[in-house]
Amino acid sequence: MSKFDFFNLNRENIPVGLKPYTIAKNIFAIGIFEKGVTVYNQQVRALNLAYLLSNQFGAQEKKVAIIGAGVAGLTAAAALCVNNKNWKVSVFERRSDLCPLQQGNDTRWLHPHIYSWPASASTNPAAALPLMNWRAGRASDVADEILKQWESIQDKCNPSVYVETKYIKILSKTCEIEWLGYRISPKTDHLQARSGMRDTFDLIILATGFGEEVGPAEFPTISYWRNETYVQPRLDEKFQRFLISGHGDGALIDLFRLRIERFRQDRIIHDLFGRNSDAQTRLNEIFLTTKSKDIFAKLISIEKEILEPQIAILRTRLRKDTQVFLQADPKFGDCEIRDLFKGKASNMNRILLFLLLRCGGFTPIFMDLHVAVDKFGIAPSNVVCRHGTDPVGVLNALFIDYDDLSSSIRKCRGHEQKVEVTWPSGFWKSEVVS
Amino acid sequence: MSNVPNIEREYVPAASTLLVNAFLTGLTGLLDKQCDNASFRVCMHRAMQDGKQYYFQQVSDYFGTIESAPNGAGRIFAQSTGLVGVAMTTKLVWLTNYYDDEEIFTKDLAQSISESGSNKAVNSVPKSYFAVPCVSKKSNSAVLILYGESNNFNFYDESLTSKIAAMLASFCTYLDNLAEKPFKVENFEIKSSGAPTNQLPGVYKVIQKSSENIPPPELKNIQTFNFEFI
Repeated sequence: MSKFDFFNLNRENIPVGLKPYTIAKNIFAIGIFEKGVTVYNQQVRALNLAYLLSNQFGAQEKKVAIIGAGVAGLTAAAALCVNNKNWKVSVFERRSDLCPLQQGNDTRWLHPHIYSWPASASTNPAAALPLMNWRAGRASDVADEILKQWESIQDKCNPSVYVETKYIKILSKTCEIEWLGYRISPKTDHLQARSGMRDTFDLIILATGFGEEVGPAEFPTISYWRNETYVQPRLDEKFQRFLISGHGDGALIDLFRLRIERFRQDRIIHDLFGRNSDAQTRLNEIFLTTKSKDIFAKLISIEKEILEPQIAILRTRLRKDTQVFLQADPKFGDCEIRDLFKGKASNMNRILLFLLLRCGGFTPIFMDLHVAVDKFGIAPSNVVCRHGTDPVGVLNALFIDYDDLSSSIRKCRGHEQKVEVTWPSGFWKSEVVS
Repeated sequence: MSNVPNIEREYVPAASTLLVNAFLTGLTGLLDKQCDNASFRVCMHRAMQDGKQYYFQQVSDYFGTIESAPNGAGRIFAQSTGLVGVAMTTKLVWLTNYYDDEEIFTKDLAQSISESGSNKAVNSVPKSYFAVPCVSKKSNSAVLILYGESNNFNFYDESLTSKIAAMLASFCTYLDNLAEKPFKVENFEIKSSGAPTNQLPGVYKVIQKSSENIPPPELKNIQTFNFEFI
C-alpha cells in the first residue's frame, strides 16, 4: 500500500476550501508555508479554516487540538469554541504563556492592513474582525487586547489550555497526541500540576506559523519579536555600520528602522504620500497589473513622474548615525538589485525599499554572508540575520511519523491559503462589536 | 413587516457609533417635544456588503422614550428586512400614511400585519414609522438609513419627517467634510462590488408609502460609512 493510501488522504475528496489547509487526514495547518504572514493575515486564515470546519462538522461532537497559542491558534480556538458548543477544544503552547512572541514587545509596531498598502483603506488602524479584534499598536498592546478577549472566551467556553508543553508529539495516522505540560485553570489562571497525557483527537490544527527565525550560529541575532533599540538614535553618538542579511519583510523593516528617522510603517507612509493621494492610486494599479519579477523595472519607469517628491522627502529623513549593507546571497538566485524586488516582501516594503535605494540610503551587496562581514568589517553584533523561520523543522519535530507525511505536506504547499474573508457576515456567535 | 430580523452581530467601529449617537441625541430632543407623552425611538443603520450579500447593520443603540434592550449596535439584518430594507433598496424616504381616523388606521394596520404573514397583535406594534436613507452621490446607493417608530398615532407625519430629513442632510454635510478633512476620526471606505438587489422587501403595504415630497439627504464624498478613530 502506498503512503498516500496508508494515510487515507485522497486530496480529490477534500472539500475545495479545505485543500490549502490539509496536510494529512483531519490535520490542518494555518499559514505555515505562506507568504505575507502578518498577524491579521494569520487571523483571517484561522477564521477561514474555522468557518470551513464548522460548516463541515458543526453538528457532530468533535475533539479538536490546536498546536500553538499565538494569535492564529487562539483565534482559531476562539472561533471553534463560540460556534460549536459541543466541541471540546484543547490548545497546546510550548512556551510558558499565551501569545509569547508579542507579549511585552514594545519595539514592534503592528498594523492590521498597512502591509497591503497602496491598496485602498490599508491605513485603517482597525482589524475589524468579528473575533479577537485589535487595533494598530505596539505588539505588546495588541497581545493585551487579544488576551483580554481570550479570557472571556475561556470563561464562557472552557477550552483546555496547556502551556510549557516542551514535549509534544503527534502521530498523524491516528490523530494521537502525547504531551507533557501544565494545564491552565480557566477560572484562576493558575497552573495545575504538570502532567503527561496521551489522547486521540478528531481534528488537529497546527498554528505554529510564526515560529522563531533561523540563522547562522556565528551571528546570533536577537529575535524579531524581542525588544531591541535599532530604531532609536544612538546615545553613545558613535556612527555604526550594520549588515542586514535577507530581504523579506522582517529584514526590510529593520533596514528602514536603522536608516529612516522616526520610522513607523503607517507614519512614514503618511509623511511620504499623505492620504489617498494620486500616487497611491497609481502605485496600486501598478502592483495589481505588474508581475512581481517586473516590479523593479516598472518602479524605475514611473520614478520621474510619480516618486520624485517622495524620494526628496525621504532624503531628508535619513539617519545620520548609521550605515547599512543589505546582503543577499547569489546561491539563492539573488544576484542584482532587481532580485530584491521579486516578491518576497510586501508591496509597501518594496516601494519603501525602492525609495530608500534612490536616496542612497543603503548599500546592496550580493555575496556570501561571511565574506561580506569580513570584507566590510562589520562587528558580529551588528549583523542582523532575517532569514525567516523553519516551518519544516517545526513539523519534523512535532510528528512522530513526519517522513510518511512529507509528500502530503508538499502537496499542501502547492495551494495558497488566501487572505480574503470567506465566512458570511454574522456567522460568528461573538459579542465583540467594537 | 416581513422576516423576523436575525440578531447576528458584526464589528461596528466605536467612532462610527459615537458620531451617529451625537446626531440621534439631538434628534431625540426634537421628537420629545412633539407632543405630550411622546413615545418613540430612533436608531441609525449603515448599508453593508460582504462580497456575497447586501445587508444593513445597526450602528447605534435605540434612542428615545420607548425602553429598548441595550447593545443594539452591531446587529445585522438582511436587506429584505422591513422598512429600513425598503428605504435602503429604493433610496427613498418612507413613512406611515396620515390618517384622519384612528379606527380606520387600526383596521389598515391589522390588514398590513396579516398580509405580511405576521401574527402580531395590532396593539403590540408601533403606530407610526419612518425610514430616511442618505444616498451616495458617487455610487447612487444608500449609505445610512435613519429609522424611527412611535406608539403615538400620526407621529411621524410628512412635516416632521421633512424636518428630520433636513437635520439628516446637515449631518451628511458634516460627515462629508469630516471624510475630506479627518479630525481624530477618518472614514475608511469599505470595498464593495455589485449592486444591491432591487427586489422590494415587505412593508406594511396599506399604511406605509414612499414620500414624493421629501428628497433623501445626499452624501457627496462618502460611499460607505466606516469612521474609525485615528
